[in-house]
Amino acid sequence: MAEQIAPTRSNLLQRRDQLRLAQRGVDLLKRKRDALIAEFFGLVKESLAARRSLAAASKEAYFSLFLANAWDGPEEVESLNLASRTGLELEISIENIFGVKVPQVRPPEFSGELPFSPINAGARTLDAAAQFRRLTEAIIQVAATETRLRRMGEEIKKTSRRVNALEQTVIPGIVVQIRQIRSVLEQRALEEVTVLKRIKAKLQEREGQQSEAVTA
Amino acid sequence: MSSDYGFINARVKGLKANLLDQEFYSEALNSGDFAGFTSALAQSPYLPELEEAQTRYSGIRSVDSALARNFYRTTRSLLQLSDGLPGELVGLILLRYDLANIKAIARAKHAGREPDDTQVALLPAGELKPAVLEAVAAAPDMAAAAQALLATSTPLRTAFARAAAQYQSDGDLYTLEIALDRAYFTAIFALLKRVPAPASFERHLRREVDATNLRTALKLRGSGGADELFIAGGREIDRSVFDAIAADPSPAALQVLAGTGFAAVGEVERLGAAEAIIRELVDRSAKRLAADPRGIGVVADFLRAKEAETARLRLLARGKFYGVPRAELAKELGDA
Repeated sequence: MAEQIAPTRSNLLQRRDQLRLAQRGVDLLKRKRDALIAEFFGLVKESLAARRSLAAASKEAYFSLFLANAWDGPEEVESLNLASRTGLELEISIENIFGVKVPQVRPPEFSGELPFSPINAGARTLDAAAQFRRLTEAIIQVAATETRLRRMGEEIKKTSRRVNALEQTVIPGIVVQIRQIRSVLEQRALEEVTVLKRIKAKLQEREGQQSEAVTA
Repeated sequence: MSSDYGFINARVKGLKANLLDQEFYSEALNSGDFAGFTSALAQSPYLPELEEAQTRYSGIRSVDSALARNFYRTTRSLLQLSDGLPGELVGLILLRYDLANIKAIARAKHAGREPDDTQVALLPAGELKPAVLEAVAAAPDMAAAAQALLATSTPLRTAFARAAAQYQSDGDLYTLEIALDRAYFTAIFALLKRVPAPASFERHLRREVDATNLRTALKLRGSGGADELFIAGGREIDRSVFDAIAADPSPAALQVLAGTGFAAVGEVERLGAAEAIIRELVDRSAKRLAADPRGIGVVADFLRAKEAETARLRLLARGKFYGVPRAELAKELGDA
């Protein structure tokens, strides 16, 4: 339902200001969307590379675990696994890209120190552990890139929705309102002119009658 | 039980005759899938253990369980048939399984794991029986586990008790494990001093010490060696070779192996490949030892062959289960 507004000159000026503001907003939002899209495509490349690294790291890690279980034995693999305490601490900071808050995950730093004695520890198992550390880094890299990508995608969609709302609803609405106010104001001005003309005609008629009386 | 090498080695040769031949590996390698592999295994001496394992587990776990059970029965029979000096030497050869089991229990205690979690990490192929290991694993903490182990006669018990007492104050698993590793080698050399072991067997054990030091140095590459990680008693890998390899991660550092029996290790880059070469070199040493029909070498060689067979079967089982291409599996099998 269209908003009812008083057809006054001040409202007309206000609506014109709103229209200018909306048009400037559309312009800014479009520029923001273009910048986000450019950033998004950069991230897509990064994300695809991270996915490829993840696939390669995953293949290596599981194959090395396969070999460790075969050669060192599942008991040795389980034994070394017992020594490690589970859990991984990640450092996450928030980065602002064109007003979008995206998480920045710093890859974990694995300590080179072994919690157990390397003497007699299965070489294949240690190799598998190293491969799984690389896999963990690859997983975190993919998670970080894809989270950024998702946030950027959501922001692009949000910005597009805003642009569409301004272009297709808000601006046409203001234009209609301006047109209505202007039409009413023009009609009023026309009416005023007509009234003034009639008054003028009446005054002239009266003046004519008075001059005729004086002559008679 | 006998202390006569003639009797023991005749029995061991009987066990050796049960090892799988090349024909089995070809058949298993050509089997289409995991079911084909288990059918082939069911026609081998592993049938009783496989049937037993399949009632409790399925897939890879059933094969792993059957192989572990078979290996356990083999080592148990070796311990049961030998007595006197040969018995002590067999116990010495199998001591590394006790060491591995004690370390697994220590790791579980350190990480606060439940005793059930520890069971999958135990292979009771040494002198410590499964019931003993279960009792030690069920102890509430490291000190109680060490206390439980003191009731046994394993040469590692005192070292574990001392290391556990130290662990109570510093909570350092690494130090505890180093103490156990060093106690293992100390026990070996103490026994060799005490009993008249053949010189060839002593040479083989020193070769194993060299192999252990070389493996440790390769694992440490680039981070530098440490006093506590070098085991004295080897013949070719001395402290300077150990330090040179541990300190420098570049391939050039492996040139120090030139002129030693481990020179071939210098030609590979990955730890896994180096491990395969070292294992082959120690296997050769064990084979030379087996040439003496009235020595412990026959047992040592048989155990290494049995370990290699177990590893090959685990490899084949996994390869078939996960559908690893035949060529890749054959290549890996060649390294086993």
